[in-house]
Amino acid sequence: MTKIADKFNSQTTSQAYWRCAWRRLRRNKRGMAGLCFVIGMCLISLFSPLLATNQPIVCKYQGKWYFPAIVEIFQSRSTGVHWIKKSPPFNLPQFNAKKELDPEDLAIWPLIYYSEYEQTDDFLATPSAEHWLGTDDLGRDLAARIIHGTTISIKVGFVSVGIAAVIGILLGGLAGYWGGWVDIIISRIIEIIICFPVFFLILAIMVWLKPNIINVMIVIGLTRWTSIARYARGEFIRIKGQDYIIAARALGIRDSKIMFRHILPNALTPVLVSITFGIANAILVEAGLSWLGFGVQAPAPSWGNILRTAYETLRIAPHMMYPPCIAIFLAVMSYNLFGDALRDAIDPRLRSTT
Amino acid sequence: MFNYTIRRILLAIPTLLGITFVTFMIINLAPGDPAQFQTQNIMDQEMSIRIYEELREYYGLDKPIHVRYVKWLGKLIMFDFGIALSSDRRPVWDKVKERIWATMSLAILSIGISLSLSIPIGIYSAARQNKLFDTASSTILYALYSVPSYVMAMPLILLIGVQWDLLPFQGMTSDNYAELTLGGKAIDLIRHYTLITFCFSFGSWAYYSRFIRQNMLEVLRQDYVRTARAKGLSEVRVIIRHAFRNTLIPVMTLFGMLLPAILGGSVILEYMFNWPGMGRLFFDCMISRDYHTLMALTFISACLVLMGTLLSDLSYAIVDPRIKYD
Repeated sequence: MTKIADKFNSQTTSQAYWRCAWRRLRRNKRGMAGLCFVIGMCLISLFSPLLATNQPIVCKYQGKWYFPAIVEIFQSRSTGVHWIKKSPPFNLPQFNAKKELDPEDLAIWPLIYYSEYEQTDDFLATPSAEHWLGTDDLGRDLAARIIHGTTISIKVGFVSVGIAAVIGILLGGLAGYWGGWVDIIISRIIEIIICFPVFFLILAIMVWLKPNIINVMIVIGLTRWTSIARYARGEFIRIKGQDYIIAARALGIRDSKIMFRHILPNALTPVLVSITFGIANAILVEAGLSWLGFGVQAPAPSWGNILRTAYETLRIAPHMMYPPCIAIFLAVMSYNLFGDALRDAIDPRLRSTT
Repeated sequence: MFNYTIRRILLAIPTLLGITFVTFMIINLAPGDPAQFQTQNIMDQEMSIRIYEELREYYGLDKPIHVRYVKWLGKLIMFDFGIALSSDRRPVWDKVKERIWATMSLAILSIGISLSLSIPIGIYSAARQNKLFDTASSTILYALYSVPSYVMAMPLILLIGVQWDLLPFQGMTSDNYAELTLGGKAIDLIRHYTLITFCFSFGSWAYYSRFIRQNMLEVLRQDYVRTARAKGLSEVRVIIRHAFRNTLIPVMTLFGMLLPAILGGSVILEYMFNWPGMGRLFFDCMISRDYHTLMALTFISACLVLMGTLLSDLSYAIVDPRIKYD
């Protein structure tokens, strides 16, 4: 009888843990708002061509149907999907939203029928029905640029923190698991990087590299892993003393397997919280770098670039200032809200430590 | 305590060595050098190349990188940061000296402001948990804490600086600063400091308020607080004497981490406000690839940061008698 009960327990513990955490997370309204916003941003960036592009979503032209904006979704992602060929006639005047269509033709346009690179004739226009948030100094629609800027922020956030997480978990795990001189060396490296004003370091490296989105991601990833490593180290130290690890070692399981199969899943939760805050931070750093001109380069619609243009045209086009500010603020805020909720949900003990 | 301090200072030496080594390598291996920067505007091809070669020799850039690093270290031991590798060729220390105060005054001001605001707010909202003040202040503080400093600076510059024209936002002094009377000078400085100090400090202020509130709540649940209440002490006494003192301990550790954040955040803000500080100098030297000034700036800020952590660790021992360093 007890054997069955034990078996039952051992099978369900890990699931129940996550389900408990999820239940606690769901009760946290602020956290759920944050999560909803994060998911919303991901959706916006995924479907940005449906929201803002200069091609129709669905159109009927000379008796044939086309889906140019949907094709755009696949082509604008760097997934290497080029098997869907875009048929030519979409930039014809018939399909220019600003003109009357032929009675037989039909087109459904995105909400904002400008692409992020498309230049119009009104420079620095104030918000209107035509341009919801106005236009920038080259006459590009600001709303379209903010929407497509989401993609850059999401990409930088996830990829750079992904890099940071791999480095941080690996080094922190090694330091925590092996202790001794490995720990001393890794801890010293962490201390060196913490003592740096990190933005100085990132700037120093960015001057060296060609400023583009990939390098920004790599540099942020390479410099932002320290807090993840510290959490991972602490967790590994805590867990390696537990009975099941001693048992695993007694069974002669390889160290690498103990580290990754037995300790890591249990050490992941505090690291996850650190990762959530890390994403908020990466978005911030990217926008800052782009503002200084060492991040994502000019025609690409990064929030930092838009903010820079707004700063330069401060006196003539004050309307440009608010959209990128609000976008960055909401993104950072939602990750922070979600991170806090996650921390409370997975481990109420951690609530006080920040 | 004394031994501990000495040991910490000795331990800081390898850390500093590591920092200078990494920065030296990164900065020097980067493409472009000061000689190239200074000759890029010379039209005549031959002339340009000749001056470039001469400058490289003059700056000692023709030697291999490890030789340069050792040489730089040797000078550093004598507290000599060398000559700036820019066309003015001033000693680096002179250049940095006039910038340190602009940044450090901001750092000190913002630490002071965030401390003096966050402690009362944190204590008060913890004492009246879930009352109107607490809910309102934690919501506002949470929002503030999520606003990056430069994102906050932009609308402030726009509204207060440009549209309402209340405060200046460029530089540290007005153009006619030299002609002003002493009182006028003081007012001018204060007006210039207001916006940038707010932008530097509001983040840490919001963060510490939340942190202190959180810790107070934790402490207020402890047994000794219940004992103090049971003894019949007044609520003010319980909170100030018994609870607040215990929240000081975690707060102390945080202040060591504040300095790197402020120094790191200074680049964008100082650039935005055209502030003559270290972050601005760092950015300018980064563009003109002035190696010596860059190294001096990194070294000084790393020293400041290490000193900050050491001070916060030491004050830890002063605040908490349970902790003994030996």
